[in-house]
Amino acid sequence: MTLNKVAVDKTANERMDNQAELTFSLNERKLTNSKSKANYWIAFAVGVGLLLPFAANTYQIHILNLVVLYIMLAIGLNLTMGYCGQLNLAHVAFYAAGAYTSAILTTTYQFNFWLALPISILVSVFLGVLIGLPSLRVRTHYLAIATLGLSIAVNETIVNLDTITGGPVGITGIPKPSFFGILLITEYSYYYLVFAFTLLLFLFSRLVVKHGIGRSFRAVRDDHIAAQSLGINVAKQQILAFAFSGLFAGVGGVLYAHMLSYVSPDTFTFNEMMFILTIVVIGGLGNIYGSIAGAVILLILREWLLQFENWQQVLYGAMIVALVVFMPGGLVSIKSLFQRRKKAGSS
Amino acid sequence: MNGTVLIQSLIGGLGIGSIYALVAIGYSLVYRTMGLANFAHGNILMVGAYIGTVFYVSMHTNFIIAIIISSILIGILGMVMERILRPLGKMDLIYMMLGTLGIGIVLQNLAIIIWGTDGIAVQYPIKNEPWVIGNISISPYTLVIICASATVVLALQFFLHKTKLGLAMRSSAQEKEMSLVLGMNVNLMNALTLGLGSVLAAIAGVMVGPVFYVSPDMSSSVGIIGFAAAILGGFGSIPGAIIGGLTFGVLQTMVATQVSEWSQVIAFVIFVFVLIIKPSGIVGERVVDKI
Repeated sequence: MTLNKVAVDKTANERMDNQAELTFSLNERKLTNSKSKANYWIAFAVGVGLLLPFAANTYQIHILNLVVLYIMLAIGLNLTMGYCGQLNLAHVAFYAAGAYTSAILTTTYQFNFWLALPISILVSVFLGVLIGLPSLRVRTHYLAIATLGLSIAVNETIVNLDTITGGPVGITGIPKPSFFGILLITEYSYYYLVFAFTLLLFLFSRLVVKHGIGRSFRAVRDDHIAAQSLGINVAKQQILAFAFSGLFAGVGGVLYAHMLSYVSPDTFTFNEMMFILTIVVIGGLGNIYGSIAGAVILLILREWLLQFENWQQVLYGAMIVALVVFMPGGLVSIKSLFQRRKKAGSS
Repeated sequence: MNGTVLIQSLIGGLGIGSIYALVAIGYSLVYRTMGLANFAHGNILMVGAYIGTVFYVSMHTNFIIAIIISSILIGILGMVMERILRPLGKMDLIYMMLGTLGIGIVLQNLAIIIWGTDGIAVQYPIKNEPWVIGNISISPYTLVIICASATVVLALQFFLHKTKLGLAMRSSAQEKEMSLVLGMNVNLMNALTLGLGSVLAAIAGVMVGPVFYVSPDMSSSVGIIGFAAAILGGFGSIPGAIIGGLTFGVLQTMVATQVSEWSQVIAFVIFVFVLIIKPSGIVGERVVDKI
């Protein structure tokens, strides 16, 4: 009865959402049906990922490193935004927190990388929970601008605390980590570190999405009041979503800082936030594999557009508009887009 | 904070606040009509500022004529944008955000290609020697901005409430289907609203030129604060946008007189606290979630 009423009250907007959700859930069901098939594909992708550095030159390996890093960042944002429906524009602030904490600990205080890593993650998760608190009171546009404002505040704080963070100049000479005595000095060896963490977090996110937390997240996203009436602790799920955002971005930040040996506040801007958001949306909200595809495609696109020099950003913007207008479900919706066309044609 | 500093920063804050208010009204108008949070609004303001500056600085036209020319061109740009954004109106907030941001990126980088990244210094259109009353000194241009913004807002209210076209625009914002049935061209009304919002941004952009540099960067700073101001007042409400804009301006200026480099941080933190206390903005209606 209530469910019927819910359906009646949905606006066109929400109806579209539901349709998208339906295709997603269909996809998911298909995935569980062919679970072993999906596992084979993942194993295959991991194999390819492990072998790729052997075919890459020094420039390509740098791009590969970034692709794998952005996959991690995008999946984290997708958990918060795509699955839990929280408009989180502070992802980049958690990224900065991870990067800066590890940079400060390993340079000023001479910490070991492996000791700095968990501390940095804790800091960014804590920041995630803190910035997630407004989500308990405000939603949609209001939450977007609240998180964006706090994210700008974090960036400005980094610039202003110049005795600790180096101010606008940033921190240089961040040491490379070593792994059981092997110093990961080249980008080739560093790639495997980033790859391992991304794989770990990817498997973790798959676990989250498939089990109770993921289901609660989607319930909160689709209708937080209905979710509450079903006994889901909405506040807890929302804070958890922001904590995940902090976790993924924190790990990403640490890896980024030690990859380039250099951090500066210029990296963690609104534009960077929008780039990660674009990966998630173009890939497909509420689909982890979409985020992976989005990161691969957008980073390659960004490099490819470099040849157009001044016009690269103009073309980039125009492509985003075109993709959003013509393919609102993201890359993962291509299949259903064709299916819908076919259905429309036959009926 | 003594009385002199208080009054001085209050007036300065109202000056910059009325610019934020004009930007915030633009956001709210478009949101109310099309349900669209237009993240390209800041970039429109920047392009408007550049067009006005080109006429005023390079071609030595009158400042007011520069504002008018810029408004007309930006108004047309806004109406063209409506056509591009039309499919986004029905979509989720994130898609709208990304689509309008894409347009913003295009505008931003076209501006960089055409005018470079350096920025242009604009001289004041009036003699800007501070008036000294007692020990309070006031910049006359700030008063000009306040008065001009107030006039623009009054004209806007007159247009929306006393003319037939304004009535049509309001009705198509409120009841899209009913307005269609009554024979109104809702798409045209949407285009006019986006145009009108863009005109407000252009006026704000040209007016703020002599105070700030006119540079491609102004879009993100004024754009984001304008959006925050619209939200602070209550998204979709014109009085809310005015209150939000003025509050933000005064808050920022007052903090800046004490600890200048922390003004952004403190302003945004206070903003978030206000939102937590009053989630629908200062004058926004309490939106009850429907089941």
